[in-house]
Amino acid sequence: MPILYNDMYILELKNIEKKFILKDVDNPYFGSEIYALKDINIKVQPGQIIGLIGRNGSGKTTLLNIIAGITSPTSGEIKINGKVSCLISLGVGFQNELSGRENIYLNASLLGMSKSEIKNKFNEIVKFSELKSFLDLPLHSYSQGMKMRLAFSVAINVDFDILLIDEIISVGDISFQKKCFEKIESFKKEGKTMIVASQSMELIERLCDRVILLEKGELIKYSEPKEAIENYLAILAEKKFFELYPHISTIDKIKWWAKKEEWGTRLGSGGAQITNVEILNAQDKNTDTFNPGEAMKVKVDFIVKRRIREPHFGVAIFREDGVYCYGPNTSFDGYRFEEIKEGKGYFTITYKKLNLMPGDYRISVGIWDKLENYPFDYLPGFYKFQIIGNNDSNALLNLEYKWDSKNLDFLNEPLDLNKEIKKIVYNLNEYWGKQFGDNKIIRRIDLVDKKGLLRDSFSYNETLIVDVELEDKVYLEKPFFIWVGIFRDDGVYCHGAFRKLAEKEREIRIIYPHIKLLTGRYYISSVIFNEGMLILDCCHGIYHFEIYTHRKDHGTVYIEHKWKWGFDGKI
Amino acid sequence: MINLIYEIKKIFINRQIIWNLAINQIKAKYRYPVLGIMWSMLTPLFLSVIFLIAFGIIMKIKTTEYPFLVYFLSGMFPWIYFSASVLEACNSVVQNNNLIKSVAFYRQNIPLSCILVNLINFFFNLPVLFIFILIFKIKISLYIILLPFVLMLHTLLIIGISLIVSSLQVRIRDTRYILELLVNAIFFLTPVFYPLNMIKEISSDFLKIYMFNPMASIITLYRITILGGYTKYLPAEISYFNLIFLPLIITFLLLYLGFFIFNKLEPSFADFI
Repeated sequence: MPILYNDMYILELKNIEKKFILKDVDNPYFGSEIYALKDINIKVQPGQIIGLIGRNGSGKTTLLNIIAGITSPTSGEIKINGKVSCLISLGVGFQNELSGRENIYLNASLLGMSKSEIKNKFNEIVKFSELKSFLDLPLHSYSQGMKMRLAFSVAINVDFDILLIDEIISVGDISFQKKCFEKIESFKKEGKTMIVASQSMELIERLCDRVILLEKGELIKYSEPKEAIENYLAILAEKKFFELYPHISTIDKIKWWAKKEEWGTRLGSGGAQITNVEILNAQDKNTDTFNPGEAMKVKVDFIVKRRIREPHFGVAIFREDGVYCYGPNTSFDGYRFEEIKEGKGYFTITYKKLNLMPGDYRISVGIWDKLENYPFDYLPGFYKFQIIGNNDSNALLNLEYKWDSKNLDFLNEPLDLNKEIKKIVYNLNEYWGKQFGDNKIIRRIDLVDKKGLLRDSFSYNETLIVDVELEDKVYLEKPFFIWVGIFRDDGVYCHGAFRKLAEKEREIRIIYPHIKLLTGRYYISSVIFNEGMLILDCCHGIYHFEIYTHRKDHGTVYIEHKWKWGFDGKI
Repeated sequence: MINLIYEIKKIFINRQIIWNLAINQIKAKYRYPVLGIMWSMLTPLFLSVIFLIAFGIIMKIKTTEYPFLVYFLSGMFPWIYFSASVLEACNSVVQNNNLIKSVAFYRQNIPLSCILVNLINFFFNLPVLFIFILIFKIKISLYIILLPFVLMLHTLLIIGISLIVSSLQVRIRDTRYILELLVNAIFFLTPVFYPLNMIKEISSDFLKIYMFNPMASIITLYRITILGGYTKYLPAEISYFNLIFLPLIITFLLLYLGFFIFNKLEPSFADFI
């Protein structure tokens, strides 16, 4: 039974705040502060089981870490009446060279058990882990599942007043999982306090008395499970999410701008009229076919019929199927024209390098008013151009990337799977948000920055490193391949890369040195497949990251560009 | 404010974890090599053969009446304890990032366990020295009963420096390289392979500054406590103050500073590694 305290709360968090400073590596002046937690106030009574829910990167783990004392908050106050034990990461200090027995002692002492305590509980730990016959074997002969079982058994036998659990109950086989649940249920009966972070709403609803819902580091709800879960599901449903947080992503705006039905319909008040649009290549020649990575220039001539106030010029590129690629305008780039008088004029935009994949594209051209509410003249999707080349998988972007691998000679050999990749990409749709099958090969995907810090938000032009970690104990028939893809949060396939895997390769790293995506949420997916294009494991729509930029341009990718203009009637 | 007694109490409370961490480091290190823990004796032995050839035979450094090997090893073993501890401890916090990131415990345990590993190593080295002392039939000094106190002073000095560098390393990754340079430089400013008289011959003023290096006095103290009759080779300029109180003051200053810096930086460790 929990000890009785003077005040009735076992845990009290007051105005907890945690701030991280993100520095743009290339541009030190563009650093941004990110609040992992903002103004968190929570009171927990002894004996309560608190659920902690929220999307990935909403601050759940940070909050648990702060309660556990692993990191300290930037500001705020924590009051804890009792001993905290955590099931945040299992197997702390496990050493492969040591035996199971030695590891139990090491691990348990790190978790705060004294030698005599460990001795007393040793049999219980071993019994719970069901690993008695393996005790004196070195840990490296254990399978991953066995290691986790051992770690879990130690962790669950530590005495505590508050137990923190972070999505790790999926340890071992079904019978072991059942045992873990029973143990947690028995803690509940004993009246212990627990904080459980999980994505399993079923578990949360069954187990918890109250639920904390975090979103972007803020406490959205601290209420009865049902209410919080409903709120969370609403957040997950993208539409409502944008209602709650209109500033978070521009992708919903993008969708509005990319209304394919409007293509070919001229809009405008007629204050200005576009008279001629030319698509030119680097040699200033009229063309509508480009090589990937080539420069493109769009020249627009117009007449101003009545003087127009504070206009701005915009040119947008769409893919033939309506996906918005990039749409900068002069106002986003910081140019301001007070007023343009009657007369002729022109403006041009020069894209330095078209980092789009081969395919058919459309261009919209417009002259807009200050707030982009109504156009003086707008020609949506009137002009076509084509980037030539093969792009069977229908990827959108030609991003810079490289595989980070040590002396793998075969990486230099060209792999001609491009055509086949589309089978994989098209087959993926049904697995969105899930990992494929029971045969788990991909253990996890980590997104890290240049310094190796785990991150789920990146600023524009930063280095994004994707680490795909495979399970140790899985043997694959060779040869097999890996594909890593980036999807926009509405399911648009942005970029994909693939290569052969070396035998026994377990950690695969792909580096995007300058991720030129625009603000929004993106998903990283990875697929392991064999020569016959059979998917062995896929992780699709699970791991995501967010891009924050100071740019307000519409679209998906930033394309470096320059504006030029000239009018005869400028004020 | 740092209360040293409170900190030392905490170390005492955590002795089990420190011991476990250290023992497991040693076990993991020596489980597979055929010669096992013998390597912790063999490595310094081979090293001393090299130094014997370089300084004793080729350069003919005169080390008082004691054979070069004994004189050298009585300084070299404490030096190895010092340099290896400080260098390993410096990296230890960063290296054990998984520990830091996943469990809340007395973080000082990590550098302290590194020091303990090297202390155990030092205990394995000492018999080698005593075997040579027996072979060369050197009298053992009566002061040997003071050896534990010297060892304690030495260890406290190491703890102080280790705490400073291991916590700085988390924020400034250059610390390790600067420390390596410093340790190498201090090696030559410590009477490991040459007698103190050589420094006196340069200038007696220089000797006074030289003794501000706490390792110089500590290694001299080791020699006094181990080698019989060593005191008569001490230069007259060296007083008790130089030999005992100066390192004592410096050690406690560093120890205080070590706990101060470590405790200050510790709460944010998990954010930087």
